[in-house]
Amino acid sequence: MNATLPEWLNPSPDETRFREMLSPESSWTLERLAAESRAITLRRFGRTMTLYAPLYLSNHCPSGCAYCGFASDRTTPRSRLEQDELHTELAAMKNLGISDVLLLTGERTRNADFDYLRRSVETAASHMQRVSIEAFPMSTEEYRELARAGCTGITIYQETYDREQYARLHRWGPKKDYAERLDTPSRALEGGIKTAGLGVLLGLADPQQDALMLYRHIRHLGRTWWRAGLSISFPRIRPQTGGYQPPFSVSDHQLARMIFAFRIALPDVELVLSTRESPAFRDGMAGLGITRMSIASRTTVGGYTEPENNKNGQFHIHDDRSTEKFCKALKAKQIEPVFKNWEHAYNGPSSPEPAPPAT
Amino acid sequence: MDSLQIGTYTFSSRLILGTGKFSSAQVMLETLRASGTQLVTVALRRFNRERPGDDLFTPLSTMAGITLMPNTSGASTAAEAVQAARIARELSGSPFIKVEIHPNPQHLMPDPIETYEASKILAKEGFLVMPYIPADPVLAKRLEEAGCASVMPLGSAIGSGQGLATAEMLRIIIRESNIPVIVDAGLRSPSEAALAMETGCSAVLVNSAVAVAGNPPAMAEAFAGAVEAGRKAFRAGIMEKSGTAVATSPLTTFLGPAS
Amino acid sequence: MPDQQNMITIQLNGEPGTLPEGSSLEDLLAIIGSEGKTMATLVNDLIVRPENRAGCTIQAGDRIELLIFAGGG
Repeated sequence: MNATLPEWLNPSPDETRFREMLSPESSWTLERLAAESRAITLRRFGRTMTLYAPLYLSNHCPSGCAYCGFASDRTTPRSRLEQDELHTELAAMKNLGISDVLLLTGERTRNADFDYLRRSVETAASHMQRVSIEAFPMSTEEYRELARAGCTGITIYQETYDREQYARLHRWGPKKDYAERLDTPSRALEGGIKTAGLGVLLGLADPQQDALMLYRHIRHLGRTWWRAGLSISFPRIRPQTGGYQPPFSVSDHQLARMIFAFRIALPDVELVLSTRESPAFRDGMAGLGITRMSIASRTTVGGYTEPENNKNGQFHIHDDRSTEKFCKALKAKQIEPVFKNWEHAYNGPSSPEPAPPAT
Repeated sequence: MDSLQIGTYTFSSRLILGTGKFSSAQVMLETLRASGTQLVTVALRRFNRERPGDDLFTPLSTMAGITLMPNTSGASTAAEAVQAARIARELSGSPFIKVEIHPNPQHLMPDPIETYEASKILAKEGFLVMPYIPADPVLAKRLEEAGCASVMPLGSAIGSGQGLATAEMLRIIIRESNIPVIVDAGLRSPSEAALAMETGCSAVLVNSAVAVAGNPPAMAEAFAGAVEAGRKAFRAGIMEKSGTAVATSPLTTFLGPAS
Repeated sequence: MPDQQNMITIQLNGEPGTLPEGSSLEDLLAIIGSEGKTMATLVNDLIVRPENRAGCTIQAGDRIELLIFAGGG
């Protein structure tokens, strides 16, 4: 099984410090990590927080991910947004002040295929300054088409880098292919997508080991696709439809340590925290390392025009404060909320289109 | 075995030596021997019948375990460097070429644009291209994409003995590079070579610091030890400095007590 | 003393020099006493490999470069 693992997933001497910081037994106390992480964040990103909101296009999914509320064996009602509904949702989001949107779908199905996604990206790009997607793995050519349609970023989590656990959790469907998923960010960046967001679903496997593998993945991408922007998200498993019980629990202390370690080891990478987390944790982490947060999130299809319909989402959100209330909390910490960090005119494939790396 | 791999070549020594500025060819050869180096750079010069001892090919080719890396010093354009490289390959049979293009004879700073152009051409011709460059992370990546076998950013101006004046940029280049990064130029003392290796570079190239030392062979030995120590330290994982950032009031009380 | 008519003028390593007409590159190397040295030879910027030196007849006005490896960083 290990024979097909890429070489960059092997240990390397330049990760010693990161590994040390991750360990609760290390000489790095949490306070010391926080202080260093805060200093680096201030220096590199200033007192700012870029904000985005997720928009669920479709919850159709052929995959059987044991931990997901949209897995194909759940009884969750299925739907997708048609383009006119999407216009309405985007308009509702704009009214909330949002101009940076993350479009989500399940794995590839006939109900939400590439053409549907491309049209949705085009629609979103007509409203928003920045459009990224969290959808299914695609080919380099498909990513290039999406980039031309106005998609600037992709988010694709490996969920866990533990191959055995990965095989157990992905019971059926296209997501079973570990190596294909591992290679997806490279294909996107090769296709001209400007930023790639990675992450693990914390709780599925040993969090320290997963963080280390994630670090190697990011380092590999940074060295190979050196023009690309990279980000890391820190989703902890939340209670969701289906009631999956994760084998590992990740405490606030552990998560904070992990975020600080990533910030110190990778000063230029965007670190993202979603509304999965509590208001207290999010406010606390703002300025200490996190530089991008979601706001006003709905995890249902059509959740912005029908805010009542917030049951049966992919997961339950924890920070349900309004945009206004959340920005007020940021400002109280002397952090400037940034809604537009990107000029629409710059969207489109990265230029010059990157050459494949010499091997 | 922790060896330096460039192309299909494997070197156990990570100290590369230049052959200029020595008081005599004999001292130079003694110095190479003392250093344990396996990769040596030489320049192309016009034959002068009044100075037959200038020719280094014969003595170097009889030394066991030495690979020649000819350089293009003297070239001030890409075209001149390409021509020099082709001539050097005829002469040495070695695929290594140190691309070195400095149009200004005062400061001898490498010309990044000509260096890039020459490197691109030479990589296509199958050379193991080792460009000597300013410590510029973007240039380093562009050269990697052009097919270079290594990049050789300067620690400081050539012959200046200013050490690792470019340390911050070198850190970025090393962090981002998929090919060996070799610090070339500016090193004065073994401690600086050790520091370069601790930072994670793959090798160092030294010339002046050894050639103009009071006792060149002894200094070469000192450099060899420093390079080895620095490399070992890098691989072992160096302890963090403490107190690099200290908050005046606690930052993590919002997390509550650890469970 | 060879006849004036039988001598040609060339540029050797950037300096003017004379050579009997009909000399090959190999003859030139013998004349200047560089046998045994490993050097690269160029005639009018073109590399002439060792095995081709005997067959390379030098013409008046040719620019000839003889290059060796010398010390340098």
